[in-house]
Amino acid sequence: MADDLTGGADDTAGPPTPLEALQRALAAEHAAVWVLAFLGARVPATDSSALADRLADAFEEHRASRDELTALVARAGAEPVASATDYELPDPASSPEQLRGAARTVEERVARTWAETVGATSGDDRRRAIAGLRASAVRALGFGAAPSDLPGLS
Amino acid sequence: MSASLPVLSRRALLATGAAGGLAALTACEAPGDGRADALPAAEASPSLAPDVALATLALAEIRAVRRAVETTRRAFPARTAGLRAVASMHRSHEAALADAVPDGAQTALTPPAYDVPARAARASRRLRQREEQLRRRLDALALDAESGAFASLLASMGAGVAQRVATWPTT
Repeated sequence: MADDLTGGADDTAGPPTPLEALQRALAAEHAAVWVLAFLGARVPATDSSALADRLADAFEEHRASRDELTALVARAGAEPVASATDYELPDPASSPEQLRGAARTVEERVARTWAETVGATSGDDRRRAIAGLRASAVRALGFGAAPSDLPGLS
Repeated sequence: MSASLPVLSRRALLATGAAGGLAALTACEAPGDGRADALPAAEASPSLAPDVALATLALAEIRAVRRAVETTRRAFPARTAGLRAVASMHRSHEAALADAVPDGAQTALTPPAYDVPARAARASRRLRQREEQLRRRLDALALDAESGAFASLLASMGAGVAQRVATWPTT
């Protein structure tokens, strides 16, 4: 079964440990990298908006975040979660508006995962989670999201 | 949207209270680290549980910036319609924090007067800087929070401010 866009955090368990939270954030970043690459490849050549550039920038930033988290989890002595073999992709995803909508969903779900990570961590890990939440919230605007009073929570 | 906002209760924050220093928190502040102005609330609440003290500080900072927004809107009513949503966000954040802050601490929170620059463009730039300072301040408070849920709330508020700064209305 395909994983969802965030990598499928388990909401039925209790509060995650800091390491579990970081692993969930890593899973979400894996998913974001995978889906954004898919979306970027589907931008019509005739599209003259900034969509292709925004998708490419978002892809690069999520990839950097994924790599940073992978190293962080490994330094903690754990095995970093791997990318899923399959993700549930948005369908349809062909028009620029559909691509923007899918990218917006990715960013909003990643923001939610980072908000959860903020609550489960402390110190430098929490600092990293705060930055991740903010980055996804702001990137979502570039894909047409309306500003929210509480990104990641509402 | 306000109806779905989480509201913190002081009981919930007191339940998380443990060792931690409001004194250290306030003593370490320096210009440029996210704190816009010294507010009396910080000194008025040394005996509060740590997260209640953080909520008091956050409320004071948000209220001060919201009043700066409203003062600027009154000075340039025809050119600041886009700031209505910014003020609304601040009010939502205040509502989410209000129940966590003791009444006595709230009454001590009188923001310093905000001087609006004479030119609209400069007033807008200055206000945007205040919002950015508030964002850094909320991030710093989130970092210090003992309750995970409270940390998430403060960080989300900071992200909300960041979104408003990123879409700052032109004058």
